Amino acid sequence: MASFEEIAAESQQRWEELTAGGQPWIRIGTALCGKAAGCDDVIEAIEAALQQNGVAAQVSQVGCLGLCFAEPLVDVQLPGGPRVFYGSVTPETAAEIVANHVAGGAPLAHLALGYLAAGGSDGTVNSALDGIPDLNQHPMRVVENRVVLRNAGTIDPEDIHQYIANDGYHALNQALTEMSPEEVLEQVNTSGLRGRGGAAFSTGTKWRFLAGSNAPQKYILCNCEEGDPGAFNDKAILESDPQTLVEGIILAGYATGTSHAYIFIRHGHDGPIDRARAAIVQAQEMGFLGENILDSGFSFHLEVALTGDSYVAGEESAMMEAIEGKRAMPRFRPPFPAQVGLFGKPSNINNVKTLAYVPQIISRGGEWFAGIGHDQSTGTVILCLTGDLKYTGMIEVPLGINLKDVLYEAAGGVPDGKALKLVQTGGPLGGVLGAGNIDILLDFEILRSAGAILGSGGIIAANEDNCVVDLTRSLIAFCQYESCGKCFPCRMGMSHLLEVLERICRLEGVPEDLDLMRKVGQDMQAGSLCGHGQLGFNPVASALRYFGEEFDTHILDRRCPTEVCSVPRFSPVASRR
Amino acid sequence: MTTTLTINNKSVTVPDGGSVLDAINASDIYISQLCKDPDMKAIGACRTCLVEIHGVRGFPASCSVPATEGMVVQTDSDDVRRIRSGVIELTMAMLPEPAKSPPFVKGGWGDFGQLTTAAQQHGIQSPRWQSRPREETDESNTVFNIAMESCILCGRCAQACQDGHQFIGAIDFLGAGGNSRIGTFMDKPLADSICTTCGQCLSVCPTGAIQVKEQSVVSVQLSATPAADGAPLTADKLTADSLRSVSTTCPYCGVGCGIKVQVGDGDQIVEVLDDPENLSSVGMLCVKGRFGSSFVHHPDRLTTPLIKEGGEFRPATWDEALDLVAERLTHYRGSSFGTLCSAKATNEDGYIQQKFSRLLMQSNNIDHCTRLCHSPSVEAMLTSLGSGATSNSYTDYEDAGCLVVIGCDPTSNHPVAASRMRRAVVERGTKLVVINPRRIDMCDYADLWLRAHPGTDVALLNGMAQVILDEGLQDQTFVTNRTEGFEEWAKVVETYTPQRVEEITGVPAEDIRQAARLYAIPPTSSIPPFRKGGPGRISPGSCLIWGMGITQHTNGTANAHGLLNLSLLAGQLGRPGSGISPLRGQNNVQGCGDAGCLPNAMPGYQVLSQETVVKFQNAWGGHGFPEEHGLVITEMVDSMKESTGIKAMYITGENPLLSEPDLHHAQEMFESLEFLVVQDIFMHETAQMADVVLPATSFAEKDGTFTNSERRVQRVRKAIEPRGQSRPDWEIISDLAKRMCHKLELDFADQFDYGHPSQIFDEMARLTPIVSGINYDRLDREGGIQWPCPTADHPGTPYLYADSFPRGPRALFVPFEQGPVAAEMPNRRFPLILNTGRLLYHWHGGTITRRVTNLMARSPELQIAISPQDGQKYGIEDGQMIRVSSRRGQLTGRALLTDRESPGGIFIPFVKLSESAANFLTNAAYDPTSKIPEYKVCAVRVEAVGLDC
Repeated sequence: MASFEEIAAESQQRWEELTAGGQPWIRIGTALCGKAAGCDDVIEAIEAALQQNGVAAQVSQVGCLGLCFAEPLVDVQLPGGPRVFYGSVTPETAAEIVANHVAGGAPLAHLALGYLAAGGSDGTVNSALDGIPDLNQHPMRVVENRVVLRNAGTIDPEDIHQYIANDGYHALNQALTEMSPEEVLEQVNTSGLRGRGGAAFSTGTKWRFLAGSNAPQKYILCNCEEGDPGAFNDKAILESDPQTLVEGIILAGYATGTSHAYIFIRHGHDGPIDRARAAIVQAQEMGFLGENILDSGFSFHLEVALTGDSYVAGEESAMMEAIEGKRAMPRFRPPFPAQVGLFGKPSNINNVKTLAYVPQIISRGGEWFAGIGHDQSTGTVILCLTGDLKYTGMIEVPLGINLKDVLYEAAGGVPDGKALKLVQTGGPLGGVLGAGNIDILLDFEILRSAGAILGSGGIIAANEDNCVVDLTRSLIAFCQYESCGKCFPCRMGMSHLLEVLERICRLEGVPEDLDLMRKVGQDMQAGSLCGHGQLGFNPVASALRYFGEEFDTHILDRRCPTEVCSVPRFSPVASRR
Repeated sequence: MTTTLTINNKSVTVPDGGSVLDAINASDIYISQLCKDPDMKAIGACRTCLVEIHGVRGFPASCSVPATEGMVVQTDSDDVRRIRSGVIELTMAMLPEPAKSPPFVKGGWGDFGQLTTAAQQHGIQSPRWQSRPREETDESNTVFNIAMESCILCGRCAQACQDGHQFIGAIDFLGAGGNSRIGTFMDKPLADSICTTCGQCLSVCPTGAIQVKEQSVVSVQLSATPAADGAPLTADKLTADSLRSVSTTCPYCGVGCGIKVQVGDGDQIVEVLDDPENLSSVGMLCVKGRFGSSFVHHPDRLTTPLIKEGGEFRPATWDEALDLVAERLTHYRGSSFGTLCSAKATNEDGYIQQKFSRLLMQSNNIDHCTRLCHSPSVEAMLTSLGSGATSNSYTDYEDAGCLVVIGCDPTSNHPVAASRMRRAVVERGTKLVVINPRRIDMCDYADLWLRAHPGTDVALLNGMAQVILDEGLQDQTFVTNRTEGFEEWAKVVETYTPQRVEEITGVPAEDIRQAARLYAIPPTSSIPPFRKGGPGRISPGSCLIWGMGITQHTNGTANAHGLLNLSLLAGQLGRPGSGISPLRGQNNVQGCGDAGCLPNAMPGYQVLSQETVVKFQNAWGGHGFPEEHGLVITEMVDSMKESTGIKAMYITGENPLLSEPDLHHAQEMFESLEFLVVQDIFMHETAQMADVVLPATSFAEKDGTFTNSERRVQRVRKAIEPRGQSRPDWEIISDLAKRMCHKLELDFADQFDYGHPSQIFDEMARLTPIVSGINYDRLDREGGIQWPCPTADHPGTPYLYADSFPRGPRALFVPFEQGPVAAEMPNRRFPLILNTGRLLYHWHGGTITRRVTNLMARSPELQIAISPQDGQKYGIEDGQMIRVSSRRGQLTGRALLTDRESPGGIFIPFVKLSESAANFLTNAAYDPTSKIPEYKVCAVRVEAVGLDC
C-alpha cells in the first residue's frame, strides 16, 4: 500500500490536470436541489453540445454549492482560468454555453451568475471577468464562513482524489502519525463543538463517555436520518463532500478507541446513500478504512445502514433499534447509549454535521474553531433557507449571526413586496417566531430562551398570506403521522391535537378547545417517552404565544383572516381508513 | 441483598435489581401499569406508571427506573395524578363509543380489564375525547380473535411473540402515528402469517382484546371480580375468586412445560395458563399446551370398563372386569405375557406396571414407546457413556456458542425448546447449524443448513470428525484424559474426507468443514467458557440436539454413535453450554424408562442381573422374579404367532396399531393374541381388538410425577375428579394385582397396597439412586428437580459428566462405517423416499388431538408435502387429493407443494386423519442393535386421485 505522501502527491497531480490541464472542466450541481431543478436534462444537453461542437471537456457531477434557488447550476472553468457559474440553466442555454464559452472561450456575461477566482498552479490568482460579478459578493456568499461546506459544489464527491487534493485526509494522517487519541479528543474539547443534531450537547464530553468505556466492542453511529421538512444540510454534505464525513468518523473512532461505525441514512435518500457507499469503498481502497490504517496499528470499519420510512428513526435509540433490524421505536433511558447502545454495546451517536467539522478542527486546531461563533456557541452553523424568501438554499455562517440579517440580507428578504409573518426554525418540533421577534442572535442559548430551537438548521419563512392556524395544523399533521405509535401520550395526544386543530380550521372550534390543547400538550410534554412527544406541542404553544389573536378570530368570529381556512383541506383524520 | 426506598412516605424493602415499579408493586400501593407484563421486560410505552422521584427531573416511568437505595418516590402527587389521568383518558378514547359512557360494568360488556381498573382508580368516567375509528377484528385464527377495537396498543402481545417469550415474530406494530395497529407481515390475516397459535399474546393482553373463541371458555379477565385491596391485578388474584388454579405439568411433549389448569364450576377445565415459575418452560406454552386440554372432557372418554362378548363390547363393573382379567392372566404367567407401559402416564404408574409384570406375572417382557423413538440413542449412550439420558439442560442451549440441530424439527415437536433455541440465536448470538433433508422452520434462523441425503448421517458425522482432526480442532486434553478407543476410531474416520463425504451425502465439502469448525470451537458464547477442574483448551460450548431423524433408521445406533464420538472429540460434554440432547418425544418417556419399564433394566437403569434381582427381591417382600432380559416391543409383536411367543398382553396408554410400522402386518399379529387388555382414556385401534378395555384417568385427574427431556422430575397434580368410573393407572393395576394374589394364593398382596402415589414414589426413590433425594415435599417446595439427585440435600444436576461417566472414568469412541443408507431404496415403481414425522397441531397418531376442536380446526386433514419439482413431474397440483402407495399399503391425502421437501422426498405426518395413516406405508425393517423400525425411509409412489374421490 502506498504511503500517505504518495497518495497525496498523486491526488495533487490529478487535481492540477483537472483545473489547469489541457481541457475545460464543466461541473454541474447534481445534489437533490439540482436534480429537482432538472440537472439531468442539462447534463444530456451539455454532452450533446460538446459532441456537436467537437470539443473535448471534462464533465463532472458535483454537489450543492448552496445557491439552490439558481439550480441547475453549471460551472465552466477553462484551463487555468476562473470558474464561471451559470444559474437556472436550461438545455437550450446549456447548448449556448458550450458553443460560446467552452468551445469559443467567450463567457456569456448575460447568463452568468458570477465567477470565482481559482488558484493557479503557480500560486497566482486569476482575476475578474468583464461584466460578470464576483460570486463571493453575492448576498448569500458574503456572510459565509465555509468549514464543512468548503468543498461543496467544487469537488466531485465520487472522486476521493479531489478531496485529498483539497487537504483531505491530512487531518487523519496527522492524527495517526503525530497525535494520541487523547490529544485528538482534547482538540475537539477545546473547539467547544456542540452537537448539530438539535440538542447542542458538547461533542467532546460525549466522546469522553465512550472513550472511558473499555468494552471490547463499541460503536460510533452517524445520524443522517434527516426527516425534518425544510432541512437538507446532512443530505447535502453526503451528496457534496462525503469524504469529509468519513474522515471525521474515522477520527472519532480513533479518539474514542472504537473500531466500528455506521452511517445511518433514511431509506429513499438515494443520492446520499449512493455517494456515502461509494466514499466508503474508495476510502477502503486508499487504506483509510480497514485494518491497520496508514500503518498506524489502528483499525476501523464503516458501513451504511438504512432505516425504513420513519421520522422517529432519527431519535438515537430508535435509530439503534432500526439498525438492529427492529421497528424504529425509541427505548427508554437509562441505560444511556454510552452504556448500553447498539446491540447492547456502548455507543456514541453524532449528527452528520457534527462529525464533518472534525477534520478541520484537527487540521486547524480547536482554538481556531473556538474563535468562530458567539459565546458558548462556537463555530459555524449550516442554515437551510426555504419558504417565502428571495434566495433559498444553504449557507454556512458563524454562529451568533442575527436571524434578521440572515433573512433580509443573505436571503434577500420576502419577495413580491409581501411582509414576513413568521419564521419556523429547527424542524416541525421547533416552533415558530413571529415577525416581530426575529431580531435575535442565532445562538443555542438565546434561541432556546426565546422558545425556539436551532435544531438541525432549517429556517422556513412564511409571508403574510399564510394562516397560522393552518400552518400549525399542517405541522401537527406531520408530527401525528410521524409518531411511531409506541408511547400512549404522543400517539394519542398528537391525534387529538390534530383533531382539534382541524376543527378550528373548519371554523367549528369552540373556546374550550384552546384549553383542551394546552392540557393534552402538558401531558405529552411530561409523559412522552422521547423528544417527539415531549416537544410535539411546541408548534401549537409557540403559535398560541405569538398569534393567539388569530386563533381567537377563527374560534370566536368564525373567520380566517387570510382566508386560507375557507378552502377545504386534506385531512389526515378524515382520510383514516 | 435488598434495597430500601421510601414510597409515599412509607419505607419499602425489595430485593436488589428491581425497578421502582417492582418496589411499588411489592408495597400495597396501586399504580396503573398497562404495558408492563409481570414476566417480561419493561416496554415503557403506556406512561401510566409515571411517578415523581426526589432529585430526578420530570416524571419518570417507574417501570424503567432501577430502584436504588434511599430513593424517595411519590406516586400520588397532584401533578403525577393529573398527567396519569390525562394519559389514561387519552387511552380510553381509543375504545369504542359505548365503553366511554358510564358506568363500566365489571365482568360484563364494556370491561377492558386493567384499563377499566386504572380509569376507576383515577376517577375517570368518560373521556372528553372523540373515540377513534378502529380496525376490524381479526377472526382468521381458528382458536382466538384479535379484537382491534379493544386494543390499546400497549405492545405486550408483540413483545410476547418476540423477545419477551417466544421469538416467533408473527405480530408487531404496523403503520405509524394514529394509524398504528397490531398486525402481521404484509398486513395479512393472522392465520396466513407465521403465527403458531401458541397464545402467548393472549396470555399477556391487559384489556382482553385477544380472546379465545370458544364460548364455553371464560376469560380470566372477565370472570374475575376486582381486587378488594386495590392491589395490582395479577392473573393469580384475578382468578382466585371464581376459578381454582392447579399447577401441574403439560401432558403433551417431553419439554415438560408447567401449566396452571383453571377449574371452574362443574369441575370443568376452563382455561390453561402458562407458569412463569416453571424452570423448564419459564412462562411459555405452545398451542397444544395452552389450547389442547379439552380432550379431558370429550364425550368419547372411556368411563366404564368394557368386556367384549361375541365381538361386541358391553359395559361392565370394575369387579366384573378386573376379576375377569385376573382370572385370565393367571394362565399366562411367565414369558408368554408381555406388557406395554405408557410414556404418557406418570412415573408412579410405570413403576407399578413393571413391578406387576415382574413380581406377579414373572415376566420381563416390558417395554414402552421409547423403542420406537430413542432406543438407538439410549443404546449408544449406554455403550459409550453408561447412561441413557440427555446430558444437559435447556439453559445450556441459551448459554451455548453453537447449536447443532440434526434430524429433528423442534418447532413442530418441541415448540418451547425451539423458542429457547431461537432466544439463543437471536438474543445471544449463538451459531445454529441445522442438518436435515427438509427445510424445517429452524433453517430460517440457521447460520448453516446441511441438506444431507436421507440415511447418510454416519458419513456426514464421520466427515465432520475428520475435519476436526485434520485441522487440529479437537480437545486433546479431554480426549487423552477422559476417553478410550480413540486410535481405532480415528483410523475409521480418517478416510471420510470432506470430498468423499460430499459424494455420499450431497453436502458441499466446504459446508461440512464450516459445520465442524463451528461445532468444535464456536466463535463466542454468552457465558465464559468453563470446565470443572480446568485446565486444557476451553472453547465456548456447543450442544448436539437430535431427534427421530437420527434414530428411526436401520443405521440408528450408528448415527447416534457418530454424534457421541463428535462430542467426545470436541470435548463438548460435561460443562455449561455444552452437551448432548436427544429430545424426548412423550411427556414422560424419560420417566417411563427411569421407572424401569424396560426389558433389560430395573428402575434407574439398574441392569437386570443377579445382584439387582436380589436387591429388589429384598425390597419387594422377598419374592423373586426372572433375571433374563425380556423382549422389546417389536420382538413381542413378531413373536405373537410363534408357539413360545407372546400370548397375552396388557397395554396401557399406547396404540401400537397406529404407531407400529407396516400396520397391516402388525394387525395380523395382534389378531393371533389369546388375551389382550387395553387400559386407556379413549377407544382406539388397539383397544378395538382387546378382550377387556379399562378406563384410565387423564393427567388432569390424578397425582404423580413426569420426568421431562432435561431429566427434571415435576409434579402432576389432580385438578378435577376422574371422569365417569375411570381410575388412575397405578390404582387399577394395584387392584388387579391384589385380586390375582388372592386367586393365586400368593402372600404379597401388600406389595400393591398404596394409598397415594407419593408412597409409590418414595418406594421407587429408596431403590433408585438417581432419584433417591427426591420426594413430593421437595417438589412442592422447590419445583422440578433434575436427576441425578442422590440425597435430600442435593440440588439436582443440570448437566452430567462433569467429572466422570457412569461407565467409568473414560467414555468410549465407537467406530462405524457408513452402511447401506436404508433397507428399502427407491426404484422405478416406487421412485420417492417417504419421510414421516409429526405436526405442531397434532400429537403422534392423533388419538388425543383429533378430539380437541381447537387443534382439529387448525389442521383438519392429512397434508402430504412434496417438492414443486416432483409435483410437476407427476402432474400433481397444490391442494389436490393424491394417493401414496408403498409395497405395503396406500393412503390418500391433500398435496402440499412446498420447497421444504427436496426433489425425490415426500413427507407425511403419522397422525391418522380421515382413516389415512402413514404407517400403512412404512417398512418394518429394524436397526440391528436397538430394534427400532425405519420410519424415516421407505420407497413410495404418488398419483393424483380423480375428482370422484
